[in-house]
Amino acid sequence: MLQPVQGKTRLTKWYSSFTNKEKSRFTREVSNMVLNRPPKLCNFLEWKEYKIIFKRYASLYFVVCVDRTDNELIVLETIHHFVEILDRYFGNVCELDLIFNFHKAYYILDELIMAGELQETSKKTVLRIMAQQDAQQENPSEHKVDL
Amino acid sequence: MFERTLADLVRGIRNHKKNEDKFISQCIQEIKEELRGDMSKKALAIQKLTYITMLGYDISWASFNIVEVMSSAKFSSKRIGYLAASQSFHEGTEVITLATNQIRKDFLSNNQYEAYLALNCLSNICTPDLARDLANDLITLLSTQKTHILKRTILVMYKVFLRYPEALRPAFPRLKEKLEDPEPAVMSCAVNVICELARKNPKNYLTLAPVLFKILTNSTTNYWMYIKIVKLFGALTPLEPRLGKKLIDPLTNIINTSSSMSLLFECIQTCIIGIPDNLPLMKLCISKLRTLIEHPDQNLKYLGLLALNNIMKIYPKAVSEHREVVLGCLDDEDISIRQRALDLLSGMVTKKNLPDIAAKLLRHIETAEGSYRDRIVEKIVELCALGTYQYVTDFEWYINTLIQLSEVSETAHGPLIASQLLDVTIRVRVVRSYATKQMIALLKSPKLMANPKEGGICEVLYAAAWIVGEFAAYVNNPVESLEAFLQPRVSVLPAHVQSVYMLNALKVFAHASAEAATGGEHAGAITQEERDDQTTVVECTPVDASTVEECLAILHARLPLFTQSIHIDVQERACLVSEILKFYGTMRDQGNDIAGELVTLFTEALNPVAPKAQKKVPVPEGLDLDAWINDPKLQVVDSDTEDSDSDIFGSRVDAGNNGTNDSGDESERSFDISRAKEERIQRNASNPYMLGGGKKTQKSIVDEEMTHIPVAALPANLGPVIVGGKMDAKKKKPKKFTIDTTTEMPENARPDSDDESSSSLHSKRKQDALSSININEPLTASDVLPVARHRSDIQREKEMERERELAAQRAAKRGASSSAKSPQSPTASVYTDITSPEVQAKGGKKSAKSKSAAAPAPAPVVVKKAPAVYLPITLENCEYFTLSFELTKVDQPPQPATSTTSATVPIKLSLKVQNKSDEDLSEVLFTLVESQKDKITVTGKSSAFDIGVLEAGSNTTISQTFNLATNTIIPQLTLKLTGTSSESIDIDIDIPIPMSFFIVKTKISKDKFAEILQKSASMASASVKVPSITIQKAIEILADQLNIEVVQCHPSGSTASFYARTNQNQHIAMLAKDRDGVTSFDIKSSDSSLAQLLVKQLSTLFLKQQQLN
Repeated sequence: MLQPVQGKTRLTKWYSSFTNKEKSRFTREVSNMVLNRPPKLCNFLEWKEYKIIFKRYASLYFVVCVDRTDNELIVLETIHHFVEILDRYFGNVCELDLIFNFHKAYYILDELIMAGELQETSKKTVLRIMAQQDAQQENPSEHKVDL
Repeated sequence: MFERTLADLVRGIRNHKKNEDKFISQCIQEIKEELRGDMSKKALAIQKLTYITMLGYDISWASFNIVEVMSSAKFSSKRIGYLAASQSFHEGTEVITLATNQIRKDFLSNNQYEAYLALNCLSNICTPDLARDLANDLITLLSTQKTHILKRTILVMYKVFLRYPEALRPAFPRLKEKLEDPEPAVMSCAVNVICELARKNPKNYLTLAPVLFKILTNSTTNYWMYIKIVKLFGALTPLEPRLGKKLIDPLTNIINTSSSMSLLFECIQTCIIGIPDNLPLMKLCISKLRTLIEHPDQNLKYLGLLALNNIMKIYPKAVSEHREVVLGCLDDEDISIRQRALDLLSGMVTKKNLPDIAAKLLRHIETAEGSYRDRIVEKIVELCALGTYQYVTDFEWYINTLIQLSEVSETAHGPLIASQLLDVTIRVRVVRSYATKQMIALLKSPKLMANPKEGGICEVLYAAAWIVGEFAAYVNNPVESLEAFLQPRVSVLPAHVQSVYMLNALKVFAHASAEAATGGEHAGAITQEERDDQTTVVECTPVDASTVEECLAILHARLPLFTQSIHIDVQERACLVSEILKFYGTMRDQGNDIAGELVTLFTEALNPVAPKAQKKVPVPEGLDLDAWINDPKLQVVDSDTEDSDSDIFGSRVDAGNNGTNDSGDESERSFDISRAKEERIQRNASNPYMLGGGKKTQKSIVDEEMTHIPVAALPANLGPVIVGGKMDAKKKKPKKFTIDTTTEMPENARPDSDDESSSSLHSKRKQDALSSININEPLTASDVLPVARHRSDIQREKEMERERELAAQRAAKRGASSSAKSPQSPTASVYTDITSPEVQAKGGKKSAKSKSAAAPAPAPVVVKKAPAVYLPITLENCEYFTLSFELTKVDQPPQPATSTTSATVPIKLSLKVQNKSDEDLSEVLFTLVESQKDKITVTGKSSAFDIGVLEAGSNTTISQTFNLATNTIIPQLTLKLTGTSSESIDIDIDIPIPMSFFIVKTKISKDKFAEILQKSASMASASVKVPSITIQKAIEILADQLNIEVVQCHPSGSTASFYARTNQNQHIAMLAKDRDGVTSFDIKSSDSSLAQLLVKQLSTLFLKQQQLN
């Protein structure tokens, strides 16, 4: 589960299946916990049988919920990685970019993380694939651009 | 039509902050319109829906449209469709199955971008069905050369393994190859997947260790993967100690050189799990952790403490070196860090620093709030109680600390503090005098009574009252303490606290009076012993007769408040106390001071009972805990335990009554009500089977009246009392003072055999389907994955198979040998679970229903999977029809997971009707009787089924499916058969419905069974006797015919217990015994009609069985 939050949810992605009801309940609980936390404290929380790891970038909170056994630091780094890619893609990303281009943000996330695992660690590759896909979306004639 | 673009929608939602719901429902209306348009319109609509679903709205109604968009030929639409699918589809989405082929086509597509989409989406929406159907294609895809597709496929395989574990074995060799893929991204993905898999069942992946080791040492710079490998080794090393040794060098290397904190931390974690016995490495880890803890970054500090906590479990000593750092963290502003530090404390305490740490924590309590405050309270108590007060040197200090803790407002640990107070005063004799004094002060404190609710801090008063009463010998001023006991405010406390107050008031009084009677040299056994021990000399203000009078006055004045208490327990004890006092007064007026006797009631010391004492009570020889105490009545009886009790203990009750009369001479004027109450108390007290009165109460009554009642004294050593088949382990031993740490164990305790808790911990590893797969076994023929094929292929194959079969048959016929096997096709396999209970039919003629009981038809027993057998229905007074029927339960298709209990059970009834008269019958019609219509519904149009004309001598068969409501048990299906010949015919037919239709096969454990039986007080019971049958046979028959499963069978084979559950979750528990040529079944059920019905069924069933033999 990966969900950047800012009071209102801007993006959520679930890597395990839950019903809609559960999803909205979890979102509520988690965002309450994260938003109510004073700054300057550590970025980890224990929640049910999971751990919540979050980081704030400007007005956005990036919240990730992982298993207890996972490494907190690497998750933080993953979040940072994602933010950096967003930044490069949108060119100095801001909240509005994510709101209006939410689908793009999802595509990037898909390139980065699949089935809950990190898929591609190279920023360049992710960006290149994104660019190619976008290009294809614009003019479908340009088929089969090989890497 | 005006169309919103996605940007319009987003903007619109932002502009309608106040009435978002309304705006969105309006948008959804528009979207529904747009979904009817062409593909590009649809795609746009779906994209908007994706945004809406993110806001938490349900768009499952559009699932089908999403699939449509997914299968669009245009990449842009396809991309939108796949995104929508990954966001909104879940396991329950039915249209996923429609998408199976689309997804396959796309990930095998020549356009690699389409393949990306399909694979990404599949990783999100993979269901067991998809996993099964696509596994084979995905495995093929694993050999692709395209890096980006390959790495995605590897990750998707992980999801497939989760949903369809059978795919793991065939896929594993390919997966293993990928570990050595030249492309780092692919390798990293493979490592990821294997790391996740290894967490479920590490044993399977031990063989990969060399490969992984190579990756670890042939350094790349990709520390993401490093972390995964290190983690993977963490899972492997516990299984293979040699691996740990090999890892020491590389890990030390990484720890020393890595600049990445996350990698460092992962290495330390792995060391802790995998190689804990390497001391130098551990020392290195601890020193690294210390730098983490001292790091200004809160995150690192937190993790450092967390890891240190893990080390502490292995090397408590090594960690304690860093005591001051950890203690420093207690002052951190971050609550999570403080909590972690708190966790570490138990490894840090020593005799010396305990008071300091406790004082520090107490200071924290003042500023802390909520659950954290509770945790501190708990921690203080835990630290002090560690190793049975190993670190506490000054127990007066501890008592004070506990009292301080009790002043913490709104703590949830009232019961904990109370039990500590009790435990300390009981175990540590030296502190009793001090504790008693403090407790009296506590009793008077208004603070504790401020918020009287159960489980709250007022629980401490419970302990305080008990201590003051039990150690009344240390009470200096009985008047003062009695006043504290009986102050009116006490009546607002929880009932169990009040009851303790009552009894302990009596104890205090008993001591005071005894002391007065003996002039200071009072008979208190405790004081006596204290003197032997030469410990604290009790300094008492002399108690004289006037003090006793004063006490009596207080008691008389205040007790009435409690004898009228609304809490039955309090009332009972208050009455008891006041009666004893009355008796005391009477005796004293007669010149008999019984103060000495009174105090002896309470002299016996109570020792703590060991936690496992109950289990260790040896079962006396010849006692069968499963056997019935009384022979159960053979006829069907409602369970009534009261009756049987009074049978056995009738004499005892009489004795109790006599006693009341004797002592009641003087108190004739006392109210009838209190008299009746008192009688009840007496009766209960003298009845060892009543637990309500508390041990002391029972004993006091018995002792006191012993002189008056001509009843043989209870044997001093009763031995374990049997209460409802259970052992009462809290048997008191003869007085014996124990040193601090001993606990009470029953005599002849069984040797320590019950350490199963530790061993069972090991087996607790989560067992799921995936982890139970062993990939090291070679692949076999059974590991073939289902491959999707064209329908015609399958058909062709089937035909060929049929031909082969036919050929074989022909060959067999030619052979004509008796041993030739003819292929037995299970044609009649639909007919299952047929029982053939007696058939009753009521016949009637000319609409005059002359109901007459029919003789039970001798019906053959039908065994499972037999061809249809029609059971005759005997119709009396009916010269027109012969009827026979066949009733089967229709196998229901597996229900979707959401609805586990269905509302109806479908059954199929086939009726064979023959016209045996020589007249033609017309308008032959079966109708479901009116009275059953609410319970039984008919699938199809009407509740009647029509045969029409039935010519003379002809017969016909009809069948009809009924749905039985499951909210009640329906014993029979009643149909009305009507027809017309020269006269009109009207017959009622009852078709019994076997109970097995309502019973769900359930296997439960012994423990669960016992639990159900414990709740069985409210269950109806019944029993039935049948001619002798072996238990083994009975088990077979019950399981076969009634779906009732055996729970436990006595090794001797003479008794067995059974359990079943109806589809409305009513329990049926049964005990079968085979004794003296009679087999009896005792049935308990949550529904009495159910029990009766079962009795009927059992008797017919076994009667038939006997006839068969």
